[in-house]
Amino acid sequence: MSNYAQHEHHDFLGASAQALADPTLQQALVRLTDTLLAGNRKGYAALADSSELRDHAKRIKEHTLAHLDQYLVQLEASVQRLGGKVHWAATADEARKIVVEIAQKANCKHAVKSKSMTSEEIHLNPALEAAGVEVTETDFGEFIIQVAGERPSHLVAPAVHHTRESVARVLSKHLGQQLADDPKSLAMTGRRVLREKFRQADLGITGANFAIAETGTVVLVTNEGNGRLTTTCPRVHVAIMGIEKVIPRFTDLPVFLKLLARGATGQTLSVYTTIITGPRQAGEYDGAEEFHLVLLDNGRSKVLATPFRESLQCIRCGACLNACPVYRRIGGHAYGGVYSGPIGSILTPLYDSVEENPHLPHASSLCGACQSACPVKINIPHMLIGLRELQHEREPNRWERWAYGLWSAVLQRPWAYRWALWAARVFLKRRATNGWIAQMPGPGAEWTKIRDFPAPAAQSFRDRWKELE
Amino acid sequence: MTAREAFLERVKSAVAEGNRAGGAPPLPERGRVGYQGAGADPVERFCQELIAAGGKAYLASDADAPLRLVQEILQSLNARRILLTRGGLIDQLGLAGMLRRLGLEVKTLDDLGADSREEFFQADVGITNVHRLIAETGTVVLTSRPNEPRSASLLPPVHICLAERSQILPDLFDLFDLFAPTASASKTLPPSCLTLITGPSKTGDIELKLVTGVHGPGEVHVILLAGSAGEG
Amino acid sequence: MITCLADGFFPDVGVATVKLLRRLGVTVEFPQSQTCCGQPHFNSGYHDDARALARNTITTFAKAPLVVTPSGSCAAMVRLEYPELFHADPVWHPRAVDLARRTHELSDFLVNVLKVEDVGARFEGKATYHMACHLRGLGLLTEPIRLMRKVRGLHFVPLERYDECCGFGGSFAVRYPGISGAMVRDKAAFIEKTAVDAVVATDAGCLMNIGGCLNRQASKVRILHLAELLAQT
Ligand code: SF4
Repeated sequence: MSNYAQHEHHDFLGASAQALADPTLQQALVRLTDTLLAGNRKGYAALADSSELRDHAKRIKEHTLAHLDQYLVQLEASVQRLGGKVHWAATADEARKIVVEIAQKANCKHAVKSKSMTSEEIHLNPALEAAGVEVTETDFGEFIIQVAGERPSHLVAPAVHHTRESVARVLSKHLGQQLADDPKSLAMTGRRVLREKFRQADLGITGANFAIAETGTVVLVTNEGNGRLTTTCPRVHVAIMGIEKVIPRFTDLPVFLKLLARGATGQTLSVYTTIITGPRQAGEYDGAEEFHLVLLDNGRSKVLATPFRESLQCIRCGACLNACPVYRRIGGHAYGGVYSGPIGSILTPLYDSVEENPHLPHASSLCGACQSACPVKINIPHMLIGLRELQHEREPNRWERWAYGLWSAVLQRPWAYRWALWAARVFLKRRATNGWIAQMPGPGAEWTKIRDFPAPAAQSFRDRWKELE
Repeated sequence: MTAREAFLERVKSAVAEGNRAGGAPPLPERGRVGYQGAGADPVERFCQELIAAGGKAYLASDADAPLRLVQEILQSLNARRILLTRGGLIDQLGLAGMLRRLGLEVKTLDDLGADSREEFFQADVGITNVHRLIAETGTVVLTSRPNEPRSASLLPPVHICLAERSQILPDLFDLFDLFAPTASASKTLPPSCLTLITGPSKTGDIELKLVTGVHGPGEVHVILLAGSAGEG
Repeated sequence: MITCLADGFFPDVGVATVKLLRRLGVTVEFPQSQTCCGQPHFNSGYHDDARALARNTITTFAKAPLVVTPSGSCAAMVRLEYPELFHADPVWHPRAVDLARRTHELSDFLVNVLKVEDVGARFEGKATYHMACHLRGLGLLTEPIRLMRKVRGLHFVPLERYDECCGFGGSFAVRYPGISGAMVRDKAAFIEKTAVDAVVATDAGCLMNIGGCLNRQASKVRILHLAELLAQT
């Protein structure tokens, strides 16, 4: 058993082969992606002008990113006006230190966390634990994988790779009691255990689905309600957000809310949208007394300067994963990085390393299903191609470069092209039966591992054009 | 240069470098794009959407109906410990007194000290007013304020809320138009916590099997009164 | 525009396209200087090569009032990518935009330019339809099905996940045979489930992939390009 589920890695080939050979995982992936993709389509269809609204959302993001420095300053001022504190974290390391320091200053010992991919990205939990702060993931799926010592395998369904049996096993071991493998009772056990954690918690850590510059608001979207609990029970609230999550105005928020849940699951809205503007006000009964907002760069500004800027429009809805025929066959852990699926194939090379993730930009048929599912219509195929180009610049593959160059040189000359067609025909003739070739030489052998290859026609179209004239 | 200034400087130069020739696009105006509205009958649309999200909707047609409906819900749940927020319809209807007369263990905010969070953890049912309802999505909107703690609609396993039909807004966009960064005659500042609740708490984390109530209330009941007064 | 795959491997598709267009009263020319639109190079990140091939294509078709191609993939390359490829080139950008405007995938041309859905075709038997991915990019979500439904004698059977990629993706199929294989096997299984005589698609890439898989599995289902289907009377 390998540990692709536990640790980030660069072994795309090994991990994807393992996933393909795992029938339980295959079943889980099909169930999840079928359901959520159908929801996505139904969700957009039910919205009269969903395509225009998605364009509008995209334009808001484009505008914001093109003025990002200004909006960050505005956001900071708004949060401060409300009595919140803003922290600037250039790197993951700085972000971890900031959060640990907040915890220590406020003397917090028990942290509860609402699902946040940004905190996954900065590997926050080990840092807090090393500082003596107990951390509990409270999204039920995240809780399962925290107990199992694993990483999320989907943006919105982190434990999709688990079955009811494996969840029962993991939780039984953790709690030291035998639990039945029934989803309902397992979830209720989760409720009981996590309620205790909320009762004790003095620090609530969340991400932010959105942050609003003009009002200093952070927005959390959940279906379970753990985002509400995390911001209501503990006395200190720390929200960690990538700088790309800011949007300009309060009235821009519903544009994204209308699209986020529809794109992710097909719901009109997720069950809970928690819109927090500053700490608890005088006279209020509950809510955090201290509010901290951590703004994280961690490579984003570098991407902002490049043609890959569009990737910063992502609202982490997971729709591209559900739509992707590759994701649905290999699952999230195969991708190796924090983010998986089509958007992960862009983010991981950009933020981790282009050189060490050579497969991710190529492991896509460029079918475009991701873009048509994406609430902000991110042109993922284009960026994958852009990454391929970047690979050639960074680490040219001489043989491949030569082959494509030769091919292009041939194609630019009709006589050479004609000659090449003839050569291929002669060369492959012996191998064909009934118009199909069962075994190809060279790189074509990879093709014929799976399926036959068509034999070149006896006469090309251009040769037959004469009879047609 | 401070860390903050260096941070912003990096972002600023990245913005400039990445902006394609032709400059930065302006902030777009939405116009009517994406506005769904509630159709001919906002009440019906609200109820449909709430039910689709797994909630329950009740129309109170006469003056006695609200209490009767609350009572029926509580009885069917066998609920004993009831937690009430203050103001609005809850006060207008005198709900606390009526429920006490039924022999239920009722806690209102007046009964709670500043440090009685445990009462919220122990309650069987939380009953609240609402700020608005949204027909398009079947959503209950709550604002945090001294009379309306966030926990009342969050910690008890069942949430009942009372609303008037006039509190229904057709579209999600209408809600956000009520607020602005600077208060004016027609707009107020966003509250410290604006909560949108669309149905009961849900999880599908195990094999996509839908389970309600994993964290928030597993049941959401909305009782709609015929009245036309604004929010309480 | 014939497309290089059809030229070398499926010339019947070209012949069928010509016959069909002529039957509908269209005058067809075939400039011999055309080769490949450059999509393989573009997709693999060799954009200079792609630009060289694009310039050849743009020059070849500079005079044609309209360009029709029996391939969503080539049409998408010309319509969607050419302008972007030359976005910083003051000379070639307008030419690219101009060609993009004149270029149509076959079903797009029939339904949206000629405004015909019934092209007078006949096919005796059951057929299903696989949607090529590039039609999604071109927004041609219903055109081929509308054309198929008007074919006499054809009994249309819908295909489960008809718009999921078949796993071709050019070099993808060769780089990741495991993943691509899982995709095309699923596709073949859905096709078998429909128990049709033929599976119809608009792109030679899909057809060689799906056909290769069906042939390997000794399936009786034929692959048929939309042009071939519509040319039959
Ligand atoms: S890229 Fe688009 S579809 Fe994918 S997670 Fe981001 S917003 Fe969602």
